[in-house]
Amino acid sequence: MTLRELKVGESAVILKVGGEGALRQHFLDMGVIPGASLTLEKFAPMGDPMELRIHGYELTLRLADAEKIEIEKKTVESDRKSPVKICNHTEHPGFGEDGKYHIKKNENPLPREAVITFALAGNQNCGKTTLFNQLTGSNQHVGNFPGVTVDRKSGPIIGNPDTLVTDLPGIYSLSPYTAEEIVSRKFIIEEKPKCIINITDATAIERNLYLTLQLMELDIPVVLALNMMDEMRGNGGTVDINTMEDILGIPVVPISASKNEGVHELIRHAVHIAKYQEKPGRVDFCSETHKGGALHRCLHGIMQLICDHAKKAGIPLRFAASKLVEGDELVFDALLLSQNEKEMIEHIVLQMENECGLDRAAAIADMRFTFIMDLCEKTVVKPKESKEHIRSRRIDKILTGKYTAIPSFLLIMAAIFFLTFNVLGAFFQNLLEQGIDYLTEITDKALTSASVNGVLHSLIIDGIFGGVGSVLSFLPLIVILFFFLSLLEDSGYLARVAFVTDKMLRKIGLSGRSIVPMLIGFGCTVPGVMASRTLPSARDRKMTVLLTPFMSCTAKLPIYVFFCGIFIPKPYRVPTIIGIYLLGIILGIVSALITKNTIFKGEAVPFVMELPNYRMPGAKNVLHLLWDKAKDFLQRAFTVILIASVVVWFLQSFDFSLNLVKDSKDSILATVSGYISPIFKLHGFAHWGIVTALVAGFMAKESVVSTLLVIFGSAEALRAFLSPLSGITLLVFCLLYTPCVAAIAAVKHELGAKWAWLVVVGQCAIAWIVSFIVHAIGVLIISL
Amino acid sequence: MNTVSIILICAVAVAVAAAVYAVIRGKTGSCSMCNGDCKSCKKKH
Repeated sequence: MTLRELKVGESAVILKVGGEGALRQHFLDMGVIPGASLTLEKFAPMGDPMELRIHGYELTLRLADAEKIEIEKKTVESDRKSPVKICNHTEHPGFGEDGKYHIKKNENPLPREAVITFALAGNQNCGKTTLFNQLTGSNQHVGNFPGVTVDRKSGPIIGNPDTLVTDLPGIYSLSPYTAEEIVSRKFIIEEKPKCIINITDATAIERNLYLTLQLMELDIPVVLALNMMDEMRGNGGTVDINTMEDILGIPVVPISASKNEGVHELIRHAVHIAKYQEKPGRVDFCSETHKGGALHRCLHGIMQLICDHAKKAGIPLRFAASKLVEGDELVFDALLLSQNEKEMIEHIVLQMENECGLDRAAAIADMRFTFIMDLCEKTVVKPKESKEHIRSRRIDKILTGKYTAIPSFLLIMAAIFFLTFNVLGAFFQNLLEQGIDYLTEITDKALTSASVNGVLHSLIIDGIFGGVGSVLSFLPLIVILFFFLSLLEDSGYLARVAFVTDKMLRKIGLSGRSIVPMLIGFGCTVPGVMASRTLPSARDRKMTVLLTPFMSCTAKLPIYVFFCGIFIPKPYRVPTIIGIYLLGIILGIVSALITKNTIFKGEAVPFVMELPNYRMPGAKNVLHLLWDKAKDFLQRAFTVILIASVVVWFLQSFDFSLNLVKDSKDSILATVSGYISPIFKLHGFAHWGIVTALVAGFMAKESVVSTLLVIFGSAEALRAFLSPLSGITLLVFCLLYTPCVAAIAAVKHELGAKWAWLVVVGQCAIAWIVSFIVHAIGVLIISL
Repeated sequence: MNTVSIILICAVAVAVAAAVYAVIRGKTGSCSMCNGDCKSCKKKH
């Protein structure tokens, strides 16, 4: 039978993993290998994808992929073996210490002045960035879903200025599957760090050690950090560190990165093995007896055959042999093997496949997992079901339940917007607005009483206070919306949203994983675009990047609040703002449907994702994020928006002869923008001032509001000029027209200049057409 | 033009120059959430 036929709560053993290519390799790397036990936990509300428990963690995959996995049903029994009694007789091997392993006369330390480079590698969501922050004292953002880190970050270890540790995106193996995994593999293999700090989640140790074995094959000093040991211990589990260290031949340090436990010991070991280049005591994980020793003989035969090539190419021998068996084309090319040698390797591998009854990729994965299972049997007492997991299961009954998942999602999003715009945000915004108005008033009086020059007076009050001051009052709204988005991210709910929405998103040609970049896009388009890197196919990445600008970022919030404040009666303001957000989403869906059948034909990527336990978001992490958002916003207000306000004030106060104009219609700005404004004649806002505001909005969206206030002087003046229909039309145009320059730079960085131009031109065209339609419908309704 | 005006002109000029300098250096805070470590906002980390 296939995995698809398994029922909820039933357990099975995997017999065969079908499929092909990178996806199959990814399955194998995630521990979906012949012989592994699994339990079907549940199906997503729409019946697809499914959630499995395998190797002590939750994995999701679609029914179509589950069909390719052959299984044999097991009678109900617990996967957890009875806790083994750990006899701690193994002497501490002392790797990474000035002990017996480190023999002074054989030492070969790095030159004193050399910078010791560390790579921080591990599976997704195992706490790499938390550890990086502890090691370096930085405050990089951490979240609770797989793939928060999409690019590498570096910094020296505190108290060790000659070190440089690089935090890498999470990977499951050295066979890269997604773009950010390629970043990690490239760094480890090509830049050859002096030491790898391999961080693992001790609560899912089997899957995590799979990467460890591959890192050890690279023949670079490796220190193994067993993270979340507090959680492991708290639930009755433990690890015999001495025996594990003895078997692996590398230092093993239990830590809790979030509580900063064991981190100093980890640093001491890491610096020591890096300085003295103490390489792993073991790189060979094949057994002479397992399946007749077929793979053992195969690997060692290939190693004999290619040792000269590997040396010349500078590729670790054992790693090269494993990759050749797996069929890694990049390694084949790098080794410059002759045709005869390639054929010999193929014969050796075919012989191994015949003898052990597994194909090449499965045989390698089987070898590693067999070693890991053996190691864990000797050294790990598995914890009972953790409190965190029991809690997650209970919460998931509602948040991913068949009938409750979608209503819960809608309710949570509605609550976020309601609290942001109506309760908390509105209160703080009013407070700040009153403060700014008061400050403007007393400054105005002070300037008048000091008989300050009229032009200067106008610059300060109309230009700077009118521009920067008006935008500043939106700070609370932005910070509060980010607060809620960070709660969603840090709690682990975002991964569930991806699980729940996968089937829906597949209808528009995307996978559930695309929901994460899009939800982040509600905060800011730039990280939303960057988060698309976690998607394994170029097609999905491009589609997601093109859809992200339809999700209103927080920088557009001031525009919505400003326009609704002017043109919409108070009771309808919040519904209108939510309607604007929904319009963006609907248009995004429409454009996805169009592109799905035109430029992005094909199927969405498979949905293979790990579901983390729910965790309480850390107060420090959330507060830090909020401070960062506030700081970013203030920096933008006092840089880009200040300059834009002063430039706009200047251009609208003077003519081409630099004479002060009495009427701003004669100004430089009016003349230049006047050439462009006719394109908005059909929309009802063909005014030079509005064109200028839209151009300023390209630098930073908040500038639209500040520029309009500088040009028109007050919200009342704008209301007098624009009809409510034209105001709403302009609002729709602002929702859809080109994202700001930072977002375009991010698109260029991810997809290239061609796609960046497409976003600029495409979004402007969509904005023009849709806002025209809105205006036309409005005119029609009014005339009825 | 009185002394207060001259002082204010200087203050505004310094503020605008500092803002222009920050924009040139890429320190505009234009990128959120990445905490300044992405190439789009050019900030160092």
